[in-house]
Amino acid sequence: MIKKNPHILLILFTLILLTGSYLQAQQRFPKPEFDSGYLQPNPTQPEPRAMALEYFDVLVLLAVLSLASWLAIKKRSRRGLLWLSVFSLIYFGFYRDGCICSIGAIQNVALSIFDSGYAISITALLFFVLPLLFALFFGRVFCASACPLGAIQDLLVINPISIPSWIRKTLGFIPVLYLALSVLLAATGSDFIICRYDPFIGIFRMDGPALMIFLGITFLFLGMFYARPYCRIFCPYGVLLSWMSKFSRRHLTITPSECIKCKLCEGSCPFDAIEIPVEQSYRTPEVSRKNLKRFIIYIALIPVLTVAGGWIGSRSHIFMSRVHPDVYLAELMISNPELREDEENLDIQAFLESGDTFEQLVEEAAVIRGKFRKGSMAMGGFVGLALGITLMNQVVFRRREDYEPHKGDCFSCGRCMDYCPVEKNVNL
Amino acid sequence: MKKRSLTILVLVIVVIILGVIIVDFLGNRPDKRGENPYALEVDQYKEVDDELISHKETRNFSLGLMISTDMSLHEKKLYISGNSSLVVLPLDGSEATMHEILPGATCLEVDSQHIFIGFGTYVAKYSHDGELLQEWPDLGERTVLTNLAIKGDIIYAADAGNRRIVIFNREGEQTGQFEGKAESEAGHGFIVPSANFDLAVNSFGELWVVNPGKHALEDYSDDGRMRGFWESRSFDIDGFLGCCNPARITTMEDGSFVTSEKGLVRIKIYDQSGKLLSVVAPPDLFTGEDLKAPEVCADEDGVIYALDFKRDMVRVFEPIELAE
Repeated sequence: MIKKNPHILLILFTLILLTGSYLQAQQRFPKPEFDSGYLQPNPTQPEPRAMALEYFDVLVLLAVLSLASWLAIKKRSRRGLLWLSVFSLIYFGFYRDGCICSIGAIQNVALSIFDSGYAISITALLFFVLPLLFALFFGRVFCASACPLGAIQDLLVINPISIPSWIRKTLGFIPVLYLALSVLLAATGSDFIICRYDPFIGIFRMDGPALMIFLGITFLFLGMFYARPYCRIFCPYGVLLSWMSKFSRRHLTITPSECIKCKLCEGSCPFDAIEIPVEQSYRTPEVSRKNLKRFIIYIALIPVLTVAGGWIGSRSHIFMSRVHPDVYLAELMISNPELREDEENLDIQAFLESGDTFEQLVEEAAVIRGKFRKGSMAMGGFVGLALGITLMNQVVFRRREDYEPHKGDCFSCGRCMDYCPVEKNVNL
Repeated sequence: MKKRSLTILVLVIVVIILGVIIVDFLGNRPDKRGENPYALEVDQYKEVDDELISHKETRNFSLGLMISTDMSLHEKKLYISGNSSLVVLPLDGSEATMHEILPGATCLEVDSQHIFIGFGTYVAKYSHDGELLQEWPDLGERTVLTNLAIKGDIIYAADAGNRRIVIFNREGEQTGQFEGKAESEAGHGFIVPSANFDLAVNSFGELWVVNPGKHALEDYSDDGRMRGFWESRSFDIDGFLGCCNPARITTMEDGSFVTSEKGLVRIKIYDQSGKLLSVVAPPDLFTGEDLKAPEVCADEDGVIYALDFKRDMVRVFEPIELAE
C-alpha cells in the first residue's frame, strides 16, 4: 500500500514530527498547584512554538496565498476565497492565537533594521515578506483569504454603507500615521503598539485584557455597517500592501472579458473599491486646465509638506521620546526624586533593584532621545510625503472604460465577480 | 436606520476607539499605572479563627544585638547568636551574659557539653564559658550553613547552598552527608530556593529536616535514609505557602512540631503526622515588609520562644491556660 501511495509515508513522517515537537514543548516540572483561588495573570504572548511548527506555519501561509491567488485570478471563485478565509481564521487566528502575524511583523522588521542587537527570526521575516510579494504580483490576496483579522471582520459584514468619499479618504490616512508611529516606536525599542492594540487577539485567544476585548467587540460591531473597519481605518500593513498591489500586473478583475457596463457590480463592493468608468468627454479643456493647475500646485506642495512634516517631527521628538519607558523613568526620577522611596511604584523599584545607577539611566535616556530626534524627523517627513502624494492623486486623471477594482484598496474578496453577468454567460 | 445616521454612528465609534487607544497609550506610564496585576493579596489569609489560637504573648526580651541570627534553648537558658556576639539569657530573670565570638555567625546549637556555632561555610565549637575550642574545616565557597542539630555525638549541619545535610562528629570530622534523594518519588531531594533550611532532633532522637520547596518535613535515619515524611501545601492556616516554608522548626516534648513561616508570618503547632493542632501566633502579630520567619524554641511546659529579627527581641508565647 505504501509503495502505491508514497505520500502516506510523508504524512506519517509529518505527524511524528508534530508529535515530537509537542512532547518537547511540555514543561519539565509541573507548576505547583495551590487551592487558593489565585488566578495566574495571563501572559501577553503565547508560548513559543517549536521551530518545525513555525516553518510549517510559513508553508501554510505560502499555500494559502498561492491558492488565494489562483481562486481570485484564475478560478474566480468567491466561494473558494470565502472558505479559504474561514480556514485562515481558524488556523492563523484561533489555533495559532493570532501570533506572529504579518501585520505585527512590521515591528520585528523595523527593530531588526535599527537595532543590531535584535535578530529577527526567518519565519517572522517570511510572514512579513510573502504577502507583500504576492500583492506585488496578484494584488491583496493576503487580505482576501490569509489574514485572520480580515476574515473575522469579513464574516460580519451585514449592512455595509458607503460613506462620503472625503470622509473615507480622511479616515484612510490614519493607517499611514499608524504605520509611521509603529515603525518609530519599534525601531527605538519603545513599544510594539500594533500588537498591544490588535483588537482581535483577545477573541482569538478567548482571553485578554478588558481593553483588548472592548476593542474587538467594538470593531466587530462597527464592521456590521462599515465593512472591515480595522483594515480600512487602522491596518498599517494594509498601507504597504496597497502600495505593492498598485503595481500588480495580474490583479483580480470584475469581468473576465469585456465589460458591458451593466452597472450590476457598482454597488457590490462593501469597501467602495470599485472605480467607475471615466469617459474621455469628461476631460474638457476647462477641466484639464483646472486639473493641471491643481496638479502643479500639489506637486510643488510635496517637498513643502515633506520638509514641514520633518520639521514638526523633529520638534516633537522630546514629547515622542517619553513613550520609551527609560526616558520617562529618567525624567520622572529627576522631577520627583521622592518617588525613589515609593515602594508601590513597581517601575522605579524594579529599576533600583536592577543594580544600574541613576547616571546610567540618564545616559541611556539621552541616547534614546537622540534616536527619537532622527526617527521623529523621518516619521514626520514620511507622513508629509504620503499626504502630498495622496493630494496629488486626487487630481490625476486616469481614463477608464470598464468597471475596475481599485488596485490599492481592493481586498480581492471576489464579491464583485459574482455580480458580473459576463462571467455568468461564460459559465452557462 | 438612514445612511446619514449610520455614517454619524460610524464616525462616533471611530472617535471612541481612537480616544480609548490614546487614553490607554498615554496612561500606561510608571506614575500612572493602576494596581499591580501580579500582586498576590494575602490579607484574607491573615485572619485566624480564635479557637485555633492556643498561646498568648506574655512578655518579651529586648536584645540590643542589632543583628541576631539564631537561637537555642538549653537548660532554661536562651542562647542567641548575633553577628559577632553570643548572648546567654537565663529565663529565671537573672542577668544576661554576652560573649564575643567570631564574626559572621549564622546559626547555633547548644547541648550540655558545647556550643556549636555555624559561620556560613564552617562550624566552630565553643565552651559554655564562651571560649573558642575548635574551628572546623571550611566546607567550600557554595556552602551556606543555616541550622545545626545535635544527637548525642552527631552534629548535623543544614547546608542550603549545596542542598544537603552534613554530618560531623563532635571533633569536627565530617562523617557523612545526604541530599534527601531516594528511589521513591517522595525522595526527590532537598529543594531549597533560599537560605531557609532547618532541621531538628526531637525528644525521641528522630532527625527531622524541612524540605522547604516541597513544604514537607522529612524524617531521616542517622545515615541519611528517609523513613517518613509529611507535607502540607495550602494558603489556608492548615498548610504552608510560598517558596520556602516552614522556614524554621523546633520540636516539643511530645514530638509535635512548632513551625515558623516567613512572608506571611505564622507560628503553628503540628502533630507528628502533620495535622495542625493549634496556632501559637497569627500573622497580625507580625507587621512590616519582607518579614523573616522567627526562630522558635519550645520548653517542656509548652512555652514558645520566638526570636523576632525585625524587633530584635525574644517574644514569649505561653499556653493560654498557663498565661491565665
